[in-house]
Amino acid sequence: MKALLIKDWKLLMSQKQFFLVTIVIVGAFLFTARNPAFVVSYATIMYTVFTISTISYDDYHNGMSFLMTLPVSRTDYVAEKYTFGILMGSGTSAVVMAAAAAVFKVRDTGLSAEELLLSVMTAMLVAVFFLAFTIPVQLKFGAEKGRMALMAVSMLCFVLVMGGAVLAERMGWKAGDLFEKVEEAPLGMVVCAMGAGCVCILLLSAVISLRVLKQREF
Amino acid sequence: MIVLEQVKKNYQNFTLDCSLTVPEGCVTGLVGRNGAGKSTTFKAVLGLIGIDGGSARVFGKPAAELTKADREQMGVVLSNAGFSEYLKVKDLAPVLRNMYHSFDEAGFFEKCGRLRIPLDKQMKDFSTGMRQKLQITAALSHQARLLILDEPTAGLDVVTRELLLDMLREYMEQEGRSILISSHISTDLESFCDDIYLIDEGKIVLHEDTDILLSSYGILKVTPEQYEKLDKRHLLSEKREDYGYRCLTGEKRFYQENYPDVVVENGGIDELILMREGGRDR
Repeated sequence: MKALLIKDWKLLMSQKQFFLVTIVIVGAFLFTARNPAFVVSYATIMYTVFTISTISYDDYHNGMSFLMTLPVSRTDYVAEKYTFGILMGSGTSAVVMAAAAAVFKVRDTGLSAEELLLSVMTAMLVAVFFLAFTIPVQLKFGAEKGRMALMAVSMLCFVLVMGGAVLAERMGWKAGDLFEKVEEAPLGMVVCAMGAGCVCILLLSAVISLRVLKQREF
Repeated sequence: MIVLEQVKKNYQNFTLDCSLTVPEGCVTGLVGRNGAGKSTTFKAVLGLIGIDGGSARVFGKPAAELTKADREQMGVVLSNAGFSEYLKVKDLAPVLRNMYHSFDEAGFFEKCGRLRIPLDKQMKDFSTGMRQKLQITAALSHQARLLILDEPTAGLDVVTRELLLDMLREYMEQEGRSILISSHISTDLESFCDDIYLIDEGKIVLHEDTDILLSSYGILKVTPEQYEKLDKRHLLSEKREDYGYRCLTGEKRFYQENYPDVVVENGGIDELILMREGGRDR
């Protein structure tokens, strides 16, 4: 898996424009925004999205079929993509959070550590959901069809969530009540519950991805 | 090293039904027209596709069950696939170092230098020939016991082709190694392979030692009158031509001795493939 991680890191390093643009945007927002939530989310999600780009790069010109002739098992490949995604997401969050803490202290905006942590957690949550949805779709359908499939999956999720909310309301439950309960719960418990939820979602997604890749012919 | 026994793979418009053996110490060639089934055969050997029947074994194991350690013993060049094109050659070295325990980094860079492969350029900017050179260099860089090379010399000029074939000959000097190779350039295979399989429409239609193929196979060019009188026991296939018939034989000398007025040309891989095109088996 180390070899694959190095490969993806080298691919990331080859995208100088991507680097430059994200750094400029992050820098601009750090020095102008009142709250770092957007910039942390933006950077975390952008660098997590890059994991999906590495699958496209692997697929480009039948590259995946060649990759599967090397000493790389399909399990290794799937495990590496999730590992890379998590490393990218958490690494970016940590770096941008540290930068935000320093910049906002200098700017003396009165940003609390709790606010900053909440921004990072929200960003990580979005990144996890993004990885969990897109990796299996990308592996199954490839770059072009994957975009269409992802749109279809997103629409389906939207319909399911909205449908669920309407149904819950008819049954006398309110989504607002749930949020209130979450707000009342101790922060530690919320973080642990979110962490456990993320792990479960990623594991389920990885199992699906592995099944998809094992069935795939090159 | 490789044993394919009645390997079957069904696609909508194509069926592979192939048996083939690559013994230790041998260079085996697989030839055939475009779409004959060469690449599908390679994919079956590499476990890239599932098979619908028969068995594909490499190092005595089913191809689908090859471990990472087994794959370290294999060097592969595919005709239309390779390393991610956004990488540079200098990026590739640490990847290969962490992938293969026996990766010879110094040797890899030395060969890249010898073949003038740029180290600091993204592979997407490489010419086809440059990509092929890199693929072969990488396949030779980790002491593999088995090379599986699908069209490795495609897109190469004659000088580079000869240079790479020399590298492959050098590779075969060490005992216990084998190569399965396909190529459209028949002279490459005629000068390099120990035996050759001809595949057509997914089936192996001929298997012969290269020496026998070159010394015993021939093409007879006969008029209809000559054709009528011809002993047809040693004819493998025939094809109608404007002047009469063009016939493939595996007993060239028999016809040279018994039919001195018949034109007999030397056979080769190209002639074998041409005879499959519109030819009729006997």
